[in-house]
Amino acid sequence: MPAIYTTQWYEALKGLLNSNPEVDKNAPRGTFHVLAKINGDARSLYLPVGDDRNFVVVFADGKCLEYRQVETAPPRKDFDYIFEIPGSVFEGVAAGLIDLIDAGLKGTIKITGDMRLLIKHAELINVLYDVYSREVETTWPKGKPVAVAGANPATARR
Amino acid sequence: MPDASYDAVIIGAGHNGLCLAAYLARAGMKVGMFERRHDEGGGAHTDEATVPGFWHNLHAQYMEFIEMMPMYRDFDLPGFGARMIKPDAQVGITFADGRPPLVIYRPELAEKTRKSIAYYSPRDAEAFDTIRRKVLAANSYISAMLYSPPAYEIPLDARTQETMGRLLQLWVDVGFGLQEMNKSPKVLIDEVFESPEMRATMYRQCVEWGANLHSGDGFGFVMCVIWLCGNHYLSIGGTHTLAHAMASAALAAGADLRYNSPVVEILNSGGRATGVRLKDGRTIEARKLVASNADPRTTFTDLIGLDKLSEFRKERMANWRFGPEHVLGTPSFALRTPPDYKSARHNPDINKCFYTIVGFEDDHQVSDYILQAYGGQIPDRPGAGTWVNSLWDPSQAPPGLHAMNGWFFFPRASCLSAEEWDGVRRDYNGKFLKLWGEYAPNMTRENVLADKLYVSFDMEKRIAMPEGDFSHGRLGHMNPGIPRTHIYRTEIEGLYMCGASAGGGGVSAAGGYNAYKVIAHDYGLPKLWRREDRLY
Repeated sequence: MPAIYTTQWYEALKGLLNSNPEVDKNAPRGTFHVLAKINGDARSLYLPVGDDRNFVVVFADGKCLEYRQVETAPPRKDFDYIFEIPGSVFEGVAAGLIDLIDAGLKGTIKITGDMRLLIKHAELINVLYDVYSREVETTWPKGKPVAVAGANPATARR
Repeated sequence: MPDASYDAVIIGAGHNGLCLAAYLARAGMKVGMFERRHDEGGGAHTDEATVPGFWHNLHAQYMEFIEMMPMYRDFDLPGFGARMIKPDAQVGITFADGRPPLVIYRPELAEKTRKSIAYYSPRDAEAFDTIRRKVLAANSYISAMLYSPPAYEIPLDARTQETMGRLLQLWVDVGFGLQEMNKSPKVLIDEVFESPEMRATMYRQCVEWGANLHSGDGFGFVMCVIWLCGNHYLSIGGTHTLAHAMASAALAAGADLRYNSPVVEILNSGGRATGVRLKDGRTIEARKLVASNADPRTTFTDLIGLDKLSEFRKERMANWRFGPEHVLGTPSFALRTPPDYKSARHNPDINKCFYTIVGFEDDHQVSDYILQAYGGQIPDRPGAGTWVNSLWDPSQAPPGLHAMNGWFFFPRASCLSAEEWDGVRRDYNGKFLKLWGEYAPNMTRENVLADKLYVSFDMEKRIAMPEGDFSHGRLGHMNPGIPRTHIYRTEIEGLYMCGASAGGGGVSAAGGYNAYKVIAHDYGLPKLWRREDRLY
């Protein structure tokens, strides 16, 4: 039962992704360099304002080859996708309260990159999300986010 | 001692600020408006962007609220120079292979619309006609929804309650259930319409309105897009002519308007907004209130200062987002001849259609286009909405020549570097022209006297639309414990919001009108909006 924002939790996500047959079968082919910026905000119990986390993640054929936390974000042009996520939103997604795709489409998560590919594989993201909900039991040392409005059901979208 | 003193100080003379100023002045307040530019209007902005004598609208293109806008009648804007034309052929899409265009005409010409849509699908023609007829029959109730502040700002009266009931009834009457309300416009459009041509037209109309095609709400699509599709007016002389009429009306009512007067600070005393400081150092006293036509980031972060904000406001500002939906680039072309579309051999009206969609062969191309823009990329296929206003209004171009305006949807300003935007300015119009020529073979470089492209970055700098977002942004996700309050009335006593972020859309002036209603409630001003012939 790893806690949010710990190495164990990140490893659990990586393991989930890399062992899922649906991902193996349906993920877009090719290598994608991704920058995830999780920015502290006033509503997050875990990341206060100014406590920003930058992660460089490399995916190849749906597998997570590597991820590393970096102090300063590398130049944006180095990445195929950049996700900028307020901490409270990231936690809302991790707690199953915010629809990841919907938040991306609406700009709550600022995505820079080819959204067409993401929409094309939206169902895969939903599948992964279901597996995550079942298999990764996240613990919340400072409390779990409460129900967040705007957590739209994914089913009616796209 | 302040340099000037007013009852009400309004920051910015966009159309909403002008509207609020006019009503406050009519209610007896001494009103001062302070505008950073040399001209009023905000997004209702027209310029000789290409060549002198060619007038191009740099943002607002069509006036879809003329028939409902209270200020238009309450202040007799035609008497101050506003003049409108409502072209017969309103919205059209044309195709590169020369197949028939799809044209939506003004509602009075419903049979022509039906015939045009039916070429591709009789079912679509029937569906569009039925929905539009029912929605238009409820016009006054939909208008009342737009021109009323939310219930948490002023108490719900019987008329507003009736309006909400009628709108829910309308939704059921057009054949939708509660589950449809939550569907995205794309899902709903795909369910209602079957032809790629009709879907592409509706997708683009949806995007023009600013609704998120893939993640908005179906209710908004029907109530706004189908409601307004076909009610577009052209402002003679350009959209700034309407803004000038609004300014003249506000001045005639007694308001003051000062140009080249950027506000740099909102003054506070004892938790109350007491005035503003201008860039040149002058202070302007607000004896009763300050109203901001600027966006929330400018108003709260820049003009008040993050360190002076309440925890509520800090949280709201951290959760405020600009784009990705409402971000435009506007191409302007000075033309020798107007476009002559291949599709016109089937229906010549496409050559005289007010708003023509160019560059999309089907719904998938529109969807891909907007997804690229949402994702921070310049769309590969430079499709556009186009207007050649000089077809109806010869004052917008020299004799025998034509002025075209367009809308691209672009990423937010911050998604590209200044150098990258330079590249877009340099190349994208040329790319569009090449594509345009596939639809209208006379659209060649030789037919173009000059062209200009304003990108999202320019919209931010010129028209004060942060990130290029014409709606001044909106709340991200919400916590149930933090209600969506303080849209018009802020938590700071005497400070109100009246710009695009507060309400409305298009040049509706709903933000200013609704702000007046809230202010009238707070200060006991006359209910100037009450008229027997109007619900709102």
